[in-house]
Amino acid sequence: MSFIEFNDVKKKYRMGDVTIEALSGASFNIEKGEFVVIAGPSGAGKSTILNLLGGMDSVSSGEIVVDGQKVSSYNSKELTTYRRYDIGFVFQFYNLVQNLTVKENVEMATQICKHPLDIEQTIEAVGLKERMNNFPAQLSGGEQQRVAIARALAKNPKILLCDEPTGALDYQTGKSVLKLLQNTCINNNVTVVVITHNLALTPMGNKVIRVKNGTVSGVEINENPTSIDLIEW
Amino acid sequence: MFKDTLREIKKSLGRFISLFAICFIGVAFFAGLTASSGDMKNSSDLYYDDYNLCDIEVMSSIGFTSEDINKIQEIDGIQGIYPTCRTDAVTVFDGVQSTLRILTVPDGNYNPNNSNYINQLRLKEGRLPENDHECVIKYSDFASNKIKIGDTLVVNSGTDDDICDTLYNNTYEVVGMVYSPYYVSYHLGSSNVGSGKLDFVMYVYDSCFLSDLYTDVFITVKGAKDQNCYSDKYKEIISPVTDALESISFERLNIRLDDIIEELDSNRKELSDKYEQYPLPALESAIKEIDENKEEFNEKRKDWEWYILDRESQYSFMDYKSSADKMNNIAMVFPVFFILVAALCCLTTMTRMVDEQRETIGTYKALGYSKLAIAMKYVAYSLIASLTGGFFGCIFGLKVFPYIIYNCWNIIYYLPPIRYGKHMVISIVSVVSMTGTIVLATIYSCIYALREVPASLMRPKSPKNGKKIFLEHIGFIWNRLNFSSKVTARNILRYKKRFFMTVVGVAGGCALMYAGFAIKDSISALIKKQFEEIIKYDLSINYETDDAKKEVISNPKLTNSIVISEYTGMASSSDNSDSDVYKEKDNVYIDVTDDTELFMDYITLRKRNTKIVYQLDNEGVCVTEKLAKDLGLKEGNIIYIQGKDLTVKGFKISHIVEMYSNSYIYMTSGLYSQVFGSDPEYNTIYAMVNNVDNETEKNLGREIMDIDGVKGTIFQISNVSTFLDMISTMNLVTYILVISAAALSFVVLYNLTNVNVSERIREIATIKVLGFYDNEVASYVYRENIIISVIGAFAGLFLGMALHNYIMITLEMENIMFGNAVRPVSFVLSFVITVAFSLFVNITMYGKLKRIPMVESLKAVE
Repeated sequence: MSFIEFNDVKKKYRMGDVTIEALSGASFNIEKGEFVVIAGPSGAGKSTILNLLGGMDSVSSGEIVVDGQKVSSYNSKELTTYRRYDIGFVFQFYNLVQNLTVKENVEMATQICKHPLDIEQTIEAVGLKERMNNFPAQLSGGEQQRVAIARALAKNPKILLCDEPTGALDYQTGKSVLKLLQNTCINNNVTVVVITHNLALTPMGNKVIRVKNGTVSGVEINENPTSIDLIEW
Repeated sequence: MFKDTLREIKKSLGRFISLFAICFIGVAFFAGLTASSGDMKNSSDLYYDDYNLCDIEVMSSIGFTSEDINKIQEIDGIQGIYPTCRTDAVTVFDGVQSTLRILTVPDGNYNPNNSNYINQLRLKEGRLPENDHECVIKYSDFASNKIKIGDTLVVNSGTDDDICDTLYNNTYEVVGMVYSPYYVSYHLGSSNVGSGKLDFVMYVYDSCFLSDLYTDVFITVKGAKDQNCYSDKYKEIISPVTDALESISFERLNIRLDDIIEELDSNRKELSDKYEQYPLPALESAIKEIDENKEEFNEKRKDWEWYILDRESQYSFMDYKSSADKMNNIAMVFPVFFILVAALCCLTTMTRMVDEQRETIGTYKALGYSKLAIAMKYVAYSLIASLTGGFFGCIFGLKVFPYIIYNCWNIIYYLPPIRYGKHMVISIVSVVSMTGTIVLATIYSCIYALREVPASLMRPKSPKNGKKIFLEHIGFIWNRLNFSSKVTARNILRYKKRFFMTVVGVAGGCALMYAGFAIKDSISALIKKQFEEIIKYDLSINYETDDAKKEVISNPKLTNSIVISEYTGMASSSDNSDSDVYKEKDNVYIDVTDDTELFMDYITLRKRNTKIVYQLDNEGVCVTEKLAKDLGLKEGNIIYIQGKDLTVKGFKISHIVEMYSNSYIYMTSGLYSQVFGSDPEYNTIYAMVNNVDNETEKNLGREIMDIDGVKGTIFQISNVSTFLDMISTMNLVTYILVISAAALSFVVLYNLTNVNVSERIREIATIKVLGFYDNEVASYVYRENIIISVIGAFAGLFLGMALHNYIMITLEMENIMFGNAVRPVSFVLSFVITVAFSLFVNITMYGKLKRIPMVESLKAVE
């Protein structure tokens, strides 16, 4: 049994009279400690997979199992608990609380979980020790994304979910953020799932899941993932 | 573009409705409260016109002859004239003597179009008199309690004279109850017979009066009805007539004297002719008497006078006018407040709306629309909201508030149902000022967005930077706060505009509520203090003879009693009436006792705030608080008091004591005789009974009044009812205040929470994704609302105290002092209710908060 299992997951949205099938039966497995890249063009269903895996939405049919627990049958409160303890989320637009300093933004996440990492060490690990008492508006985009990663990491989650983590960043910054994610996966043995439309990133994952038209069009396993330093796009 | 506005309204109906509601409430209050005073005046003016209230009343110390009347009638500008007689009399109900005034109606000629039928009666029930044995009674609580239609009243002069010298008969059948425009006020005035205070008024036929002379002339003036009688124009019409009356009065009085002298002269001539024929000593002394009389009349002429009273000199008219003016003063406070809150509310709402629509604005700009055209979309949006809100608010406010307020006042006045005035000016001013404020607020919020270039508008607005706040410098507090307290603290200080708006709104609501409760408290506390703590006797009995005194005291129903001296006189702050500090007050009770120890069992003389109780001594007098305040006197000052013989003497004030109704001066008999040089005349008994209810009052009252030599009894319980009437007025005021407070707090809080949530939707979605439970999310968002509400509620309590003071001072009546006693529970209650409103709003928003989709967090920054 895998760490994460998607078995024939379907998701339908009702938009007035029209029913749109965002996911028409997706199945894949992810093992613990893997660095997974979910790639595909816009509208293929990546975000839906992210929403379902992240516990932000529930399935129409099919089943999702995470670490032996059947997430797809959770109610709203259980889903919240699941997000709270098991998931660390990195957003495309960082989503930091503007009114809190770097340290406080991280604190905000750790305050609600059971076994958080040390806040200052985590911030140091993402290289922002000096900026600890700054407000988000005083940081660059890359730095803000690092704070977001620190916030997700400090929760000590089972899965780190990253939604287009480089989408709003320039090339160099994006690279360093991905490097951080890759190192985190290797050093902390956290399962990292990165969602991107940028196919150039696929070589860095242990596993690449390609999504197209609401289904999984292919799963590749990379025995020797490329270091991000060697990838260019 | 216009279509876009309409679509926008449809799309954001919640926001539109909240703008609409603010304008509705704001304008309804503004217009309604401001118009109330005008409607009171308008209703009374129309009533006066319809019932032909006299514009001028002329009284003469020696009466008017028909010749005088003819001369008055010749004055230019007089429309109608009604010469009549009045007399004061007494009658007895259940053994208690009451004082009444007898006025007349024109012998059955009740045609309302008869311009000489002045001060027409408005029938409440029954009919008007149809012969000279019938009468009608002016309706009042007193009259309706004691008199029924069909009763027969026997009146007496109340002096040694026989009333039948004045009136054709002294027995009248009551055939109706009426109202009169001449008496809209509760107070009927004073009298020189009976108790000195008029209890009711009765109307009989003109022909019931025997005298050839008239005592009163009522006059209406041509063209006066066309004017509002409170206006300057009205006064301009009246004053030539009063001037003319003034100028003929001197002439008429001289002619009157000449007539009398002439008559005396002719008598004298007759007598002296006779004397020449028969020189009898009797004739000589008769001539001498006539000579003395002549001299006396010449001397008296100086005191003869016509009293020319326009409406402003009539108690009833002025009393109602001053109440309408008081209402106006109260109404002035609120509109400013509502406009302020509304403006702040709209400013936040519209700023938020413009921020949300930056992209649209950018697109319009890029498409080449002018700034004006774009701004018009938002201006039109707020214009539609504020105009419709204002329009409906105006209609609602102008109908509802004056109606409630008018009827509240009508508990103590006798006026027909409200007749709304035209309030074009008020309507326009209130709608325009509200709309104007809101449109300005909209333009203000648009201006920044419109200045930017399209490209930067397309980009999201950079969020307001986080800032350090002073609290962070106090490390030991700051470090202990968790992150959500920190966010709350920073947010509160970050959005100053919003903070201010909410505090003002909530404080306003709380202040209104507090004022409402406090007014009620003050008056109910007053009753308890006045009738339980200060005045401890149950009844006072006025007697003339020692035998009567002994008989009263020996009555077994009176458990305890004390004999004192009591009279009413004038008190002043100076013995020189030309002095700047000179102030005087009439109808002051002067109570003199020779047993100060025992006296304390009947009346508590104490300081209001410290409750220190004083005992009278020969050093000085105790003066009641309101009297001291009215005369501008303090402890240690000298107060000048009129003695029974009308001489005025100064007394040192030793203490100022608590008392809520009427004015009293208390002193020892030792001091009295020392200063006035004569012993006080004991004439009053204060007594206690075992239990007082209406039945004992009736029986005991009759029993005591039946004793020869007893002039009157007053039960304290009957004074209580006057206060109870007042309280029912205040109850309504309280309800109005509490309801408006509720409306205000609700709208403001709803608006704030709405803006707050929509602005932070992304942040809220994010923390949901982070795994915050619903209640944690709610407390994260609501904490600052609650803190602001609490701050607002505290501020409101202070504001409320000021408001309460202001209202109390404005409402103050002549013989009543309102205490400032507010029960602690009122503080707590207004505070708790305000915070509860805030919680209620938060609970209604909880659903909305729960429904915020988490995917919002994934969207690009808006």
